Amino acid sequence: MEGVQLFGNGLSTILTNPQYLLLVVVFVALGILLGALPGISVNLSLILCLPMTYTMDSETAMTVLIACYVGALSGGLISAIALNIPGTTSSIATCFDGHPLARKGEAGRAIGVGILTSTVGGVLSYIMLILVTPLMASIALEFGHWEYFAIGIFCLTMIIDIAGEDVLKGILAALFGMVLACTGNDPINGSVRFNLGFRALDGGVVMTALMCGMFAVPEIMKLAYNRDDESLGRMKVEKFRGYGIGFKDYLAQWKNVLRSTLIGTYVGLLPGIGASSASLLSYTTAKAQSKNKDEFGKGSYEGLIASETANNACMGGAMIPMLALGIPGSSAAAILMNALTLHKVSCGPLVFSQSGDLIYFVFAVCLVSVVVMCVVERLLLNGYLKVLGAPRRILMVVVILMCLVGSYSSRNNVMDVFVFAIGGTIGYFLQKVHISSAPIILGFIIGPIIELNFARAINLSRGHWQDIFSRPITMIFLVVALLAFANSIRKTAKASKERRAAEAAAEKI
Amino acid sequence: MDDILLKKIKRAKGNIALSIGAILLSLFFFVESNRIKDGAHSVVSSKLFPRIYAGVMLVCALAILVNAIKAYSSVPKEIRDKDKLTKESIAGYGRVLAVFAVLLVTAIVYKPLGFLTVTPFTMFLIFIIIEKPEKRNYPLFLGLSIFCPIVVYFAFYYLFSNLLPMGILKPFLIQFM
Repeated sequence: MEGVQLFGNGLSTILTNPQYLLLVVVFVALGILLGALPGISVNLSLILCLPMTYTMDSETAMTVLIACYVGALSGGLISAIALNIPGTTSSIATCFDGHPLARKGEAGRAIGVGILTSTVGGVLSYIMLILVTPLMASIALEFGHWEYFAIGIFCLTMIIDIAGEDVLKGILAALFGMVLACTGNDPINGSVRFNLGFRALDGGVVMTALMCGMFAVPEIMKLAYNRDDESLGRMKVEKFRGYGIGFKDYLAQWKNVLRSTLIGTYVGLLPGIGASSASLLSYTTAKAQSKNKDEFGKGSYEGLIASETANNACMGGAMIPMLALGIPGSSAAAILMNALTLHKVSCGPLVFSQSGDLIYFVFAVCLVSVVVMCVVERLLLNGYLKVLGAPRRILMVVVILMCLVGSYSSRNNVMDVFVFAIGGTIGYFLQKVHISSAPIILGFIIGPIIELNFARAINLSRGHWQDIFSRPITMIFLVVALLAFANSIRKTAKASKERRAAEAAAEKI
Repeated sequence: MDDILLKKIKRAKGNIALSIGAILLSLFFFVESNRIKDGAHSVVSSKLFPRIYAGVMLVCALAILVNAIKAYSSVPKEIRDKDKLTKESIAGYGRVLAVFAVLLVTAIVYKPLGFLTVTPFTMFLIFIIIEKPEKRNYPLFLGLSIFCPIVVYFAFYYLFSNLLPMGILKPFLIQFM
C-alpha cells in the first residue's frame, strides 16, 4: 500500500504543478510529431530531448523524457495505419489491419480507435503495475533463459500464423529475417558472421534500416509499377467524430482489451522481449478467440484494438525490469536509464527503497502522459489527416527521404543505406509472391531472442540440454507452440484443399 | 475458368522463382557459415543457428518448388501460353528497377558527394519515375527536391546533433556549423 500512497503523492505533485503539466503537454505533442515521421525512431526522439534535461532536476528531467517517450511510441500508429510504414517496431502488428482500413477510406477512424485503445491499454497497465508490481516482478524473476527461448519459439509460431494462407512461405519469410539477424558479431562468442567481407557489416544489419526499407520502399515501388492507376493518387479520408468508435461498440471489446492489456503488461515485464512481440502475441490471440477470424488482416477493428492496446500496455511493464533489475529491455529504456543515472538514481533491486519517491513519480508521469496523449493526439489528428490527404506520390517521396535519413542516422553508417535500398527491393519482390514484410521483420526481432537465450541456457547448464524438460513454464510454452504450429498446418492444408477443388472445377468447365 | 487457371499459373511461376532464390540463398548461407570462426569458451557454436536456419530454409524452399512445379504442369499448355508479360507490366518492372537503381546509386555516392548534393537528385528522379509524363509538375518537384533535404539536413544537425555527410559541400556547409 506504500506504493499506492507514493503514487498518489506523485500524481498530486504533477496535477497541482502547472510547470509539470505544461511540460507533459509540450513533450507528448513533440513525441507524437516525431514518432509519426517514418524513420524517426523513439530513440532519436529521446536523444533530441536528453541534452535539454542535463540542467534540470530529476523530476523535471524524467517528466520531459517520459512524456516524449509516450508520445513517440504512440505516434508510430499514425504512419503504420496511414502509410503502412510502422513508425516503431511495436506498431508492426498495427499495420496488419490498420492499413487495410485506411485503404477503405477509414484512416481517420482507425487512427482514432488506435489512440483511444492505446490510452486504455496504457492506463490499465499502469494501474495494474502500481497495484501488483511486487507480485509481477517476482513471477518475472522465475523466467530464465530456457523460458525466454520458449517464448521466442512460441512467438515464431505466431508469426507463421499471421503470414497468410501458406505456412511454408511464412516459415521461409521468418527464417529469412532470422538469418539476416545473424549478420555481424555473434552475441555469445563475438565471432563475425556473414559480413561478406565488409567491416561495416560487423555490427550486423540495423533494425531501423531494414524496417524502413522493407515497408517504405515497396510502397514507392508499387506506385512506380502502377503509375497509371489513378486510385493510388490520393488517400481518401472520411469525416468522423470523437475517436471513431461509440462507447457501446468499444465496451463490446472489453474481453479483447483486457486480454491485450494483460499480455502487453506481462510481456513488458520480461526484459528483452519487447513491445513488437507483445502486440504480435496479443493480435494472434485475439484472432484465435474471435468469431470473425476471416476479417483479420483485411481491416478488422478487433485486430487493431488488440495490437495497439498491447503495445502501449507493454510500455508500463517495461519500466519494471529497467527500474527494479537494472536491465533495459530496449534501447529506448537504456536511454531512460542513462538519464536516471545522470540524476544519481541507480536502477536495480534497491531502487524502490532508495528512490521510491522518484520511481512512483515516474509512474505518475507515465499515467498522466498517456491521458494527455489521448487528447493531444486526437487534436493533432485533423492536421495529420490533411497532410495524408496530399497527393500520395508526393507524400511517399518525402517519406522515402525521411526513411533514408533515418536509416543512415541510426548509427551513421552508409551500409545502412544499402540495407535500406536492397532490403526494400527484396521486400517488394517478396510481396509480389504474397510474402509480406511483417514476418521477415518479426523473424529479425525474434531470431536473436531464440539464439541468445538458447546459447546462454546451454552454457549455464554446461551443455545439458535435457534441463529443458525440468522447466514447466518452458514446456508449457513449447507444447502450446507445437499445437499452434499444427493448427497452422491444418488450416493451410484445408485452404489449399479448397483451392485445389476450385481449380479442378474450373479445369472441368 | 481461365481466370482461376491463370491465377494458378501466375502463383506457380512466382513460387518457382521464390523457391529458386531461397534455395540459392540458403546454400550461400550454409557455405558461408563454414567461414565463421568459433569462440573458445561457448558450448554452442556460432555456426549452429545459421546452419539450422539455412537448412530449414532449404527444406521449405524445396517443398515450395515441388508444389509449384506440380501446379505448373497440371495447367493445360494453351493456358500456360496465355500467361505472358504485357507491355505495361514490362514497363512497370522497368520503373521498379529504375527506383532501385536510383536508391542504389544514392547509397554509393551518399558519403563522397554528401547528403545535400545527392538527395535532391534522388527525390527529383523518383518523382519523375512514379508520375505520369502529362501529370508532372516540374517546378513543384524541383522545389520539394531542394527544400526538403535542406530542412532535413539542418533539422538533424540542430535538433538531433546528427551531422549528415557534407561531401563536396563541406567548405560551404562548415560556415553554418
